[in-house]
Amino acid sequence: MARKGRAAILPNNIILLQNLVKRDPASYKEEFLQQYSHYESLRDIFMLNGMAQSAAGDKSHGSDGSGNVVDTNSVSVNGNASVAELMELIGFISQVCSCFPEHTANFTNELRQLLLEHHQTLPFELKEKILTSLTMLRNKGVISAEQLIQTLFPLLIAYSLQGNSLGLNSHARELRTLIYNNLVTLLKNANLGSRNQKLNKSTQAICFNLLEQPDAQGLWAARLTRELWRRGIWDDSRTIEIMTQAALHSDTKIALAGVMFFLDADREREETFEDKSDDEEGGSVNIDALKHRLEINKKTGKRAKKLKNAISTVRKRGLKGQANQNFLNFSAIHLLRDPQGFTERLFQTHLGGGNSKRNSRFDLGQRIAIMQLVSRLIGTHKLTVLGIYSYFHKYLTPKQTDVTKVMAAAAQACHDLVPPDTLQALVRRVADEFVSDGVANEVAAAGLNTIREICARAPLAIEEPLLQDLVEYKGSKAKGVSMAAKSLLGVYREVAPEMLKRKDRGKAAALDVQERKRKGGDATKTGAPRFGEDRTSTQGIAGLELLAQWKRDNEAEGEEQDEADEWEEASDASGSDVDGDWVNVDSDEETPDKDTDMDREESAETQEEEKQDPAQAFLELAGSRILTPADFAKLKELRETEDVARLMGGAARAARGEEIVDADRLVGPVKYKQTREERLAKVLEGREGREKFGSRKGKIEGQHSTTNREKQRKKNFVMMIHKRSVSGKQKMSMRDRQKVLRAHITKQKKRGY
Amino acid sequence: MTKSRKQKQKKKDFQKKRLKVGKKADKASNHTDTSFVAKAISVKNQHLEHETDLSKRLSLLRHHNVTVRRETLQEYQKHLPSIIKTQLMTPLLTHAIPLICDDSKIVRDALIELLEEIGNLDVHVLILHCNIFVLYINMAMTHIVPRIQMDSTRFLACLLKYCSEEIVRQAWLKLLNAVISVLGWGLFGNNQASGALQTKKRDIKNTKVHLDVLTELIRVGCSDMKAIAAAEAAAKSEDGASVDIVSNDVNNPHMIPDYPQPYEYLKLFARTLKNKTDIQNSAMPSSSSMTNQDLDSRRAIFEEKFLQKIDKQIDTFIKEGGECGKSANNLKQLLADLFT
Repeated sequence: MARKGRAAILPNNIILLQNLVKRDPASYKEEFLQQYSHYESLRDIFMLNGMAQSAAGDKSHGSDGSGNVVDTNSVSVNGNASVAELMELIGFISQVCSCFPEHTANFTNELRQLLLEHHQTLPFELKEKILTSLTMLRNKGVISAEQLIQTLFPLLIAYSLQGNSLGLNSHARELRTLIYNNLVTLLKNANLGSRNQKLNKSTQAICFNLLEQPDAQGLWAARLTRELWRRGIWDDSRTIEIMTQAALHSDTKIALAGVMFFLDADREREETFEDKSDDEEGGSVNIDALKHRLEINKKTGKRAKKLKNAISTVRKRGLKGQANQNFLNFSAIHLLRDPQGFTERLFQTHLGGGNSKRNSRFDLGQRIAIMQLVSRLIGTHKLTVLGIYSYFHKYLTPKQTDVTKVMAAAAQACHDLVPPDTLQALVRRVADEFVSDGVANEVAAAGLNTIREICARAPLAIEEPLLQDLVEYKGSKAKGVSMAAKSLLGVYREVAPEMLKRKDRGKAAALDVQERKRKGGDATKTGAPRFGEDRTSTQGIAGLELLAQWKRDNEAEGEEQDEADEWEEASDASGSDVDGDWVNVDSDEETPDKDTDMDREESAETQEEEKQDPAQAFLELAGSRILTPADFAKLKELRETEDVARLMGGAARAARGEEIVDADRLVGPVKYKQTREERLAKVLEGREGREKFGSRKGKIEGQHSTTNREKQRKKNFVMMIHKRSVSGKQKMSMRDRQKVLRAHITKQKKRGY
Repeated sequence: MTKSRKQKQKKKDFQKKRLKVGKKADKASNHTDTSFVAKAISVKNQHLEHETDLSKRLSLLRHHNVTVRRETLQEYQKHLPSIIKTQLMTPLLTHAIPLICDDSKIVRDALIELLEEIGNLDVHVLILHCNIFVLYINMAMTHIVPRIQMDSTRFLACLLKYCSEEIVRQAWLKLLNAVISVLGWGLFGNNQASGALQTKKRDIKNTKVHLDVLTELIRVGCSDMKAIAAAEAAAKSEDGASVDIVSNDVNNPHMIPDYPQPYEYLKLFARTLKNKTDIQNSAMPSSSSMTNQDLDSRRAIFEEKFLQKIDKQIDTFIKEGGECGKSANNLKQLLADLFT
């Protein structure tokens, strides 16, 4: 036999050739060039056909001669025949063209041009193929990412236009998703190791340009930016600028996309990253120690449950903080370059101006979303947009749809730098509309809760008489209303007890007031909040006074005696108007044995000390020595303890500005009467897993011999018929028979048959 | 005993039916009811002249069955004299030309016959569709299936026979390149592993066709056909006519040329990809269509690029002798005549 040379494996299909070329490009150069020229001639044929096709299309628009029909048919069908071959060749060449860069220098340009200029006449399959080929070429490094993006973006725009997407067989939707996904993966891959700032900047520039145009094309820019933000690929302030522009856009859809981005994007991103981070931190020991310390106070199950919840909240917060430390984590709202200007423009263009015709672009839900954004911006950055408060007046009536959301937004928009008279009008409005005897419980509860939220942010928002009136609702029969009133009371006990009636102040607050009075001077002047005063910011290191206190306790136990004595005197002096229930301090004034009750005393002292001198503690500790890591660990533990204690006490938290007001919570707990099924379900739920405590009557478990009753039943009929117990029944009198029957029935019923 | 319903039915089948007087016999089991209730019967007009409507058969050229395709081609060939002047020719050709790349040989053979017939009847039809022909022939010449590639030169030969001038004017360089690559002479770098080169040794018959076509192509492309024709005419008539014809070109430079699409190089109506020209301008300035237009530039390109290569290859063929040797000798003769 003759030796089989290379001719034996001469390729006669494209796939085989592709394999061979990839293995040995130099030897198969000739074949490749042949196929390349084949591609060129096919492409030329295709161009010719495409031209004829579009020309025929024009012709048939103008005049419908019967002669043309044949032509159109022939050409279009011809085109379809060569499409498959052309697709195959394009795939082949893009696979191997990195082997012959000098011969195929023009190839990628041709593909791009084909796609950009003739996309209207190309069939869908071919377009898809070209797109995937271009992506592949990008992965092989033949074309740069910028080039690919410059090809993809115009296509995306072209296919979101009305004219193109309505065309027959345009597959606009599929193409859009394909291109969009390609874009996202492209940017993701480009930013995989380190940030590709050049590419990001150029893409963001494209987004900016898109958003500058007045039509709806910018929607893609908004969508893309949001997606990339969600994945943490773009997280700088330029991204936020894009969305700012989107939010201020005149087109409704784009504007809403921008607004929703600012409202939701951070939550979305956190969700994305929460999935990724599943490592439990080693802080469980810490929590355990903490639990042990608080267990000493534990008395009831409810209290234990509360403790559990508090711990889980604290832990969750800590976890979240740890997970987010991995990447640059600023929320979108914090990254804004000019929050005041942005908010003002947002309010002016979308809500304000009083021009109702322009506002009608948005329906109510959308307007509420914009309100939420504006108020969140105001609350976070403490901005001054005075128009919004009077704007809320229009919507604050109980019959308004989604009024809780509006109320939440209104509360969110308040902070302590807003002039009190503006807010007082708002609070007055809420009180008038919502809180009166004539309204439903839920409405009153919602109104009170809103006022509480407002006042927690801006204590000066309410006048003293109104506050005292509202607090009176704590005696309401409806649980939601009384809870809401009590929470309002709780807020003012902490912030400004002087504004409350004397009997409502509570023990600790009353003590404070008296203390100040005793020290001399004007009580109201020192304690009451004043407009423009900075109360929230911490100086030095947060919680340092706790550490100082702890240190002092550990060092000198002997001093405690004196301090405790002092404390006792003070509490005795103010013992007259103690409410007792609300304060965290346990009623331990009369405990003489100090050494055993370390914990309680510590907490009591902490409260006293904390109010007096955080600044002094800072000087004392940070001025005298250097803090070690162990110190910081202890500090963290102490702060956690305090957090838990505060949560358990139910007192209002300090920093409120950035917290989001939950609209659903405003109404408070609503309890409707349950139906029978619901009650039954609840009862049965309680019985689950408690079988062994139930009655065992009528239940025979395990193996057992036949009972007498069973034997009696199964006994043969013929044997029984002669017995007196059977035949005697026939002879009974009517009266007796009735008696027996009645007795039988009652007996059976009692047995449960 | 009671029997089941099925048993009874089965039994009934084999019982003989008694015919009774005055009663109709039962209908047979395979009886079909042909009665109908209608006020009027509408019979569609019979389509009697379907055989004359040849345009209906165009789609059969893409039929999946080989025989159908061939028979359709032959059918058209039979009717050619009647349709050659009609509108039908353009769709016919646009459908038929892609068959140059058909998989089966019999279809390609039938197509060649059809083209010959068309050429015999009316050359202008072929001339009109020259550009499509060139595209598809070029495609066939670079086809991955060897048999299609081999046959492609036969189509070129057929075209050269009828509209040689038009073809060389349109695609001189392109076709020259393609034929040489079919021969396996490797324009881009002589590659011994090339598949075409390997197969060449096997079928001498095809190689001879290729060589003949190449000879013809060069002869048409590099010699002044008009001058020759004029010389012949002059020799026949022995008048001053030859002077007239030659001076005709010189005297009327502003007249419309007598070949189709004279201003094609302006690309007023062509759809091409723009950026192609950038590369071509830098790398291969000679391949633009302008250079194919006149005789002198064609000769110059040929002399510059192909002459040496062809000379070298021919010699090996002449040494081998045989059929191919003869053709190669012809080619050598031609080259000697043209370029000395």
